[in-house]
Amino acid sequence: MPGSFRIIPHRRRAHARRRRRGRAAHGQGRRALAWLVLGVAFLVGFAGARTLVGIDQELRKRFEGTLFRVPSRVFAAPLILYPGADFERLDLAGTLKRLGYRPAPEGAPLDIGRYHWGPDGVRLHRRAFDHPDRSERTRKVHIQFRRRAIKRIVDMESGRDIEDPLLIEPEYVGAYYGGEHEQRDLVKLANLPAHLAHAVLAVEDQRFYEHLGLDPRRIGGALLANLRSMGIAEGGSTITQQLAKNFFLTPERTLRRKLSEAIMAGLMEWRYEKPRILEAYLNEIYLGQRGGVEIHGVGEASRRFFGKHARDLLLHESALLAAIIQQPNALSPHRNPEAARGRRDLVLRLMHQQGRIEAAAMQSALEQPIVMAALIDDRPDVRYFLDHLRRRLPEFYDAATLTTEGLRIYSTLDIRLQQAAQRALSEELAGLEARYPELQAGEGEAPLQGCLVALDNNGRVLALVGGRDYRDNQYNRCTLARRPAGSVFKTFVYAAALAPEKKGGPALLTLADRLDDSPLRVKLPAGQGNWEPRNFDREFHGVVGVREALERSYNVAAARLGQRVGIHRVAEMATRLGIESELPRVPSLAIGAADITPLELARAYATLAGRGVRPQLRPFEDVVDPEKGAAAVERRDIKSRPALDAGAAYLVTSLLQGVAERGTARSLKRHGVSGALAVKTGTSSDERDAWLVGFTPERVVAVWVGFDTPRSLGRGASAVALPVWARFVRDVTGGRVEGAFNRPQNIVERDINPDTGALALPGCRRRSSEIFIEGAEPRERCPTLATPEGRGTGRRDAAPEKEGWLGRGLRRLRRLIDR
Amino acid sequence: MNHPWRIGCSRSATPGVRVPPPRSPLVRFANAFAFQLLPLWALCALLVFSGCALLPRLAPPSLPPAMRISDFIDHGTPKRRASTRLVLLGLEAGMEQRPAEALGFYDRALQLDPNNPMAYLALARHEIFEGSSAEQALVFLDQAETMLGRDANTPGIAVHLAGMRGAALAATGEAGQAAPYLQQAMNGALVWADGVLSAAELR
Repeated sequence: MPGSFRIIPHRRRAHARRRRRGRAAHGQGRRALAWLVLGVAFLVGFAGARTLVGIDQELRKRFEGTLFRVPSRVFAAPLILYPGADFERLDLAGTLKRLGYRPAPEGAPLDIGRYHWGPDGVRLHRRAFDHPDRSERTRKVHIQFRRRAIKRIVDMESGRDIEDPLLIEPEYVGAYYGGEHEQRDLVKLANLPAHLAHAVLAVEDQRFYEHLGLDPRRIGGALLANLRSMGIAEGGSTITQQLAKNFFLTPERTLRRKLSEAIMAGLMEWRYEKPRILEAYLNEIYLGQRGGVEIHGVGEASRRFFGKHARDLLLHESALLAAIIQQPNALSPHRNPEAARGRRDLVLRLMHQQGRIEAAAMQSALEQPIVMAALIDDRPDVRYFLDHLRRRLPEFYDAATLTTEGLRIYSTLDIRLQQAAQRALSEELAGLEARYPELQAGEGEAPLQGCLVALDNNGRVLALVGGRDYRDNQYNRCTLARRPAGSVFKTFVYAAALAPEKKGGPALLTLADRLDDSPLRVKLPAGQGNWEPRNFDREFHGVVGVREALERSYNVAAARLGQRVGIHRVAEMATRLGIESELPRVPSLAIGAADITPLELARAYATLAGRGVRPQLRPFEDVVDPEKGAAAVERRDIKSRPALDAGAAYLVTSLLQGVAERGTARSLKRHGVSGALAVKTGTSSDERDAWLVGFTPERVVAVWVGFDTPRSLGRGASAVALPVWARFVRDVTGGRVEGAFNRPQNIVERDINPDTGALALPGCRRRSSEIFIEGAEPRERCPTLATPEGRGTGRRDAAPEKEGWLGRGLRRLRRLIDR
Repeated sequence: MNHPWRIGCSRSATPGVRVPPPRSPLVRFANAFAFQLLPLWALCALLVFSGCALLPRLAPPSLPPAMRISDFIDHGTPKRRASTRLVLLGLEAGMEQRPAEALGFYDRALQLDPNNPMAYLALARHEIFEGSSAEQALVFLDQAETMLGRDANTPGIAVHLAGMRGAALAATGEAGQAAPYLQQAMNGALVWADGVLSAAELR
């Protein structure tokens, strides 16, 4: 036994050793496994944590940076209504429609943004709006008519007359889109009516304030529904998940995407308050398409669908917006009003079932018909203006800023004038092509083009159409195309000659002087030969009056005058008036051998219209960053500089009036335009460019017509450019241009003998009235024979006046007095 | 020869002394009127007349009131009137220290009627007292003056033009040129003899 006794311990020991060894091996394996598991867990955890941190960072970057890229919007100048205004010419009805005001039936309550147009006037509930300078509150007004004019504007609440002009909010004219072509009008949750949020929550996520980003009950419900239908019949996404998907993920339906969505939703809920998430959702949701632009957010949808700010939405309108979230295009109330109404009613019932609204409110909302604002598409006719505006904005508003920062740019555009300009250009050019088939473009050729720009005396750009159709060709001929100015440049030659060199000093020319239109030969610098200008009619007209020379646009007389004034002085005058292009110092500059843009010409003529004060061009008034409040971040004030004596500017204006009355633009009357007009036609060599630039007491309009690749039009400006100019002015003024050009105090009127330019005394047989800068009246007298040493080139050649008996008597009397 | 007066009407016992006959009350009154009252009245009248003539010299000079833009509220076409109302709203905003709003109103006024001299007057005032460019103010004043035409010479308007021109020139550092204009303004409008034209005064 002892052996066994011995053996046993030995065996035991061996066994124990084996056991110990086995245990150790087993322990090592387990430990290794544990380590492995730990390691993997660590790695997974690390990777997961890293992913989470990455997602979190992305989330924060988005939420705390630029949450939305909002294109900057451009607005037109506001419409101003006042007693006495012609409401048809102001296009009040069209403006209300474009602004999204909706007609209300007679007797129905006049909600914000609605109007009732009756036989005696229009009752309007004007919306509140923010303008950089001030905010306007909502206002119920009755605009009463008497025939075509506004008789009174009455405040419907107080019953009192509104004496001050009434402003209607500026029209939205376009936006600067980035690659996405999304438009949204950001809103704050605090400014929205509660029923809007309730409507959205009722139909999209009724337990939004209870869950943590994921709603298990809803997921379960959706799962069951999908199993029942053996497909994807219902989604279980919460608002938070939808937001995560829209912000960061693609719309594909995969498990991985769903997982990411869930993680992001959880993180979003952990990091941000519910109201913040809801606000982001309300600004993000896609609510339809208008043309090439996607409508995102309730703010934009409210503006586009109901023509009002989201803060003014009514219950049934909020329900409609919530209704279309599911399928914005299929349920579009514009395209499918019945389906939209059915879904809206469902939303209203859900709201009631969930205790969000009373039964009476639901019932009342259910009875409301669906009334939509007119469709407001982005207008292609303003794109030329928008392009110009973009170039004139300060440099720090680069493309990235304009497409993402949601700036509000208040432009000077007058939408009624812009429409008239577009109409005048496209229809008149088409008319020209129909009248003159040779102007039609051949196969593969660029069509006849043109441009029209209208300014006011202060440099406000009122209308700008840079071509026939922006969709076909975006080249802006008003601002970019430098074309030979032709005779429209002659105005600057006459301005240089009529302006005193020094203040109060004498001028080179008066309107009583006479110019020589006989053959002229100007020797050019060595090797370039001679320059011999000719007239449009290929004839010479001898000695002519200043008025006649410009009215008939005689080239030789202008060239000779240019020589007298000096080409440098002519160029300097043009620059002073507003021409920025480089001007060649050559003799032919006097008859328009200079390439200039229509906009420059319009500005230079605006200086004449503004009595010699050169305006700075103003395509916009204010730029506002809504994030920084209503105050303008950039303001373009009226800036102007004196460039020409007011008297000289008036003399030139008077000459240009003669062009409209008797000269090359006299057919304006035949085109139905008359009144206070000062214009100049211009045709470049070989009739390649046709111009008409001119002004009324309020506006300057420049028109150019020609081909992009220059070729002859075959006719002069009065046949080509004048009809466009006349059509525009007729459309915006009604044909008769009221008012008059202000006569400065230093202008005096005297009777002169038109043949000699001498001051006409009693007895002078031929006399006509002429204007002069005070002190520059003619010294020579009629009937006393004028001495040829006076100013003016032609006086020497004038025929002597035949004196009558009274003239002779007076002459003798004067001699006696002189003795 | 006895004077007929002496008959039965001697009033003196002294012989040889001629005593005038007693005069009737009518004669006495006539005498008094001719030799005592009339000169007195004439003297009084002279004093009154001379006093009246001197009074204006002693009293402060009566000046024509400087014009206010509100005087023009009913002048011109409906468009001009509406534009002038906007100018007045701008001046009101200026008085309430809201210069940006004031400028906005002037902009609207010119949008409606780019030839309204009142808008240029208001803009000139704004540039002098709120804005940054006195040179621009001078341009606006020139524009207003041209648009006003002969009205610019009427004392009520001329005083504003002179005062603002003086203030603008002073702001550009042209004190020498400013002085005569400011003097003209001081002589013409005692209210703002300091040359500072408030929006309320222009309104």
